[in-house]
Amino acid sequence: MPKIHRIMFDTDTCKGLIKDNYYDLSNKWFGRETKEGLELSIIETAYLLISERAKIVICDEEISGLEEFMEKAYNCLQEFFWPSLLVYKDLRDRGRRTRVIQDGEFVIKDKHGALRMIKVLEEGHRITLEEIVSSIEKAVDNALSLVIAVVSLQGDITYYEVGRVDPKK
Amino acid sequence: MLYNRVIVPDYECANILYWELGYYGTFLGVAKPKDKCIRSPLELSMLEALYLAENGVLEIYSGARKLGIEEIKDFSIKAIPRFHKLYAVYKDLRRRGFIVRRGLKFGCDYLVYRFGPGIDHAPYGAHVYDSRESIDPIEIVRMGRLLHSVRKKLILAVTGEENIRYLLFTWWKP
Repeated sequence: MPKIHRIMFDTDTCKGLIKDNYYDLSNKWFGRETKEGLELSIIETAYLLISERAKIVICDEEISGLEEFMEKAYNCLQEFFWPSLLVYKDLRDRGRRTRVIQDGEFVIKDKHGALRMIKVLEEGHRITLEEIVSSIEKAVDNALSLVIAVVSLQGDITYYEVGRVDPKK
Repeated sequence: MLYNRVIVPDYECANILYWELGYYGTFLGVAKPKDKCIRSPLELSMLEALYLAENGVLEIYSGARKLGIEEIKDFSIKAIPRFHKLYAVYKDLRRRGFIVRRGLKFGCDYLVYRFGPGIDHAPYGAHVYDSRESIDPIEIVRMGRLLHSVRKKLILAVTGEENIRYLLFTWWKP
């Protein structure tokens, strides 16, 4: 039986906090260690909730499940929350260590142990080619390769590794 | 030139353009050319015709009047909405030694061959964008899936003020 953690979720900062006994999570790249404990993003908090590895407390009140969490933390649910959660869950469920960098951006260790930057894109949310090029450059500057995860409006995820090439015959 | 395309009515010239100079054009009514003495006129797109004319390989006439390069270019700009970026990428890939042919059947602008149709399968499908243009990410999936099903990889050719950047998309399994 996996350990059930207790996450204190602050709806002002939109962050979760586990005060102690969180090393099983931090060892698997969950959260960011601070003086107060392990700070979790909303994506990580929601993932731990739906995978039944954590109970969430908001204003000293334990919430019953995802429905209540979405209701009480509604102001924290940005437009990109759901596609990001889909991709995060897909990667975690495949056993990949996944670190949340920012909304819609993760770093993962792939099945061969290589580090990759994952950028979540969603159907209908247009992006300029210049933004894609910038993401590639950002990944390369951090010695990572870029993977885009395109989430359709039906919830399908398609991954593409993207890189700049200099075509030579 | 016939309106918005160029026809090579001389069979010998047509065969030279196709077989010897780098698989330019499409023979009328011949889907997969095999015979090297095809008795059929060759149709060139304006992009192909302009490239050949710029390289001094082709003279283009409108009726009996020979057209100048600038005239052909001006006409192409009017006839092809995305002319500037399409031609920039066409020219760049040709200069790099690739055989570049239309990619409509595979949902992209160009098919890019190392050696040519009938010799190798085009390893890449290329689609052209301007760097300031925006794209619905699902378009990448549509193009990528179609090309992947025929063992080709997707390249987005991104034109900018100074250069062309090529982005290679490879289907990835986590």
